[in-house]
Amino acid sequence: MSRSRVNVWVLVVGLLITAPFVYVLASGFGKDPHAVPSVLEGKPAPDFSLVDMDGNPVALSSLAGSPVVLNFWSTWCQPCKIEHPLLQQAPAVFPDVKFYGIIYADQTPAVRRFLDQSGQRYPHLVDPGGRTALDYGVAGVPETFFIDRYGQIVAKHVGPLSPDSLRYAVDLTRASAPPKSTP
Amino acid sequence: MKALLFVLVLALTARANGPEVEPELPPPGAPPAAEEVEALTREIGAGLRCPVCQGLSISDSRAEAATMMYDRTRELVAAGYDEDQIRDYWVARYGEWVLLEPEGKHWLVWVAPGMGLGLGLGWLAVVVSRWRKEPDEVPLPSEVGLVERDPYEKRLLDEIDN
Repeated sequence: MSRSRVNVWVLVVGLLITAPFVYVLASGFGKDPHAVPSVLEGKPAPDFSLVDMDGNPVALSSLAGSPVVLNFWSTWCQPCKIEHPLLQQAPAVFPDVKFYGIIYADQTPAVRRFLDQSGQRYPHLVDPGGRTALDYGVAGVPETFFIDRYGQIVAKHVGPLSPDSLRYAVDLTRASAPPKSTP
Repeated sequence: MKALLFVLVLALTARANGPEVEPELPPPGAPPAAEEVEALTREIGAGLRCPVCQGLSISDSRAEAATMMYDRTRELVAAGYDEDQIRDYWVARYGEWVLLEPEGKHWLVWVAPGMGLGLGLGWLAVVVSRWRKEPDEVPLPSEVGLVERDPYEKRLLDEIDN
């Protein structure tokens, strides 16, 4: 009798000690430990006023009414070059969506050389001091933000886009509902 | 006074509603002296995580992303923003992930190791004290008359006694 009581007590204490460890380990599985969580999904996209490579001003607030895809990239980033051909085709495939590249920590001449070779099918914006990248919590390139017609960030994609992930995120952005008005 | 209240209300609502991306709070006071800016930036930057490094702060890393964050932090320090506002600024953009030291609600992280150590030491003390008591407390079966004393044991005890 007393023997079984001791066993139950040991079991309870053992569970109390091991359960938190098991929970922490279990919740960590299936997650990329290096991924930076995005706090901006579902929130209004931070506004910016930048100029493109030809000096034309572009403000996010002036794009309201159509879905916007912002792709942060640089010429020193190999995954960016891998996804570049896909993004080159994107404006033709999704004509209702506005695509913009935002140049991340790069030299303008290097960008110009790269775009002269690959062609420029959508505008690429210069981001002095990386201010816009910081406002979007960009931790590395490539990162792509999908903004709906109401100016809300619907999705963020880290790493090179695939045709499927691009279509999925664009569909999600097109179907996004207007934001609930906050009192 | 009204302006102060306004700032206070703004600060409180910003905390209650979670990180706001815009609008930013106005700086609370006069900008620090130019020679203090770098030291303050280093101090605040030491608590902010470099997004592309392994456990390094933006003060310790020269990665591109960390440098941009550090430069922006220096601008905010020079403009007169205090440490809390600058931390909130980064939390609004990168989440609480960006803080190298956990916020207050993660108190368990700080308390658990001490509690574990205390429990372990307590358990050890109990176990050791039991080890020491056992030989005195538990009599030999022969002493309580459960079995007859072995003749060899009898001789041995006699010799020890004498």
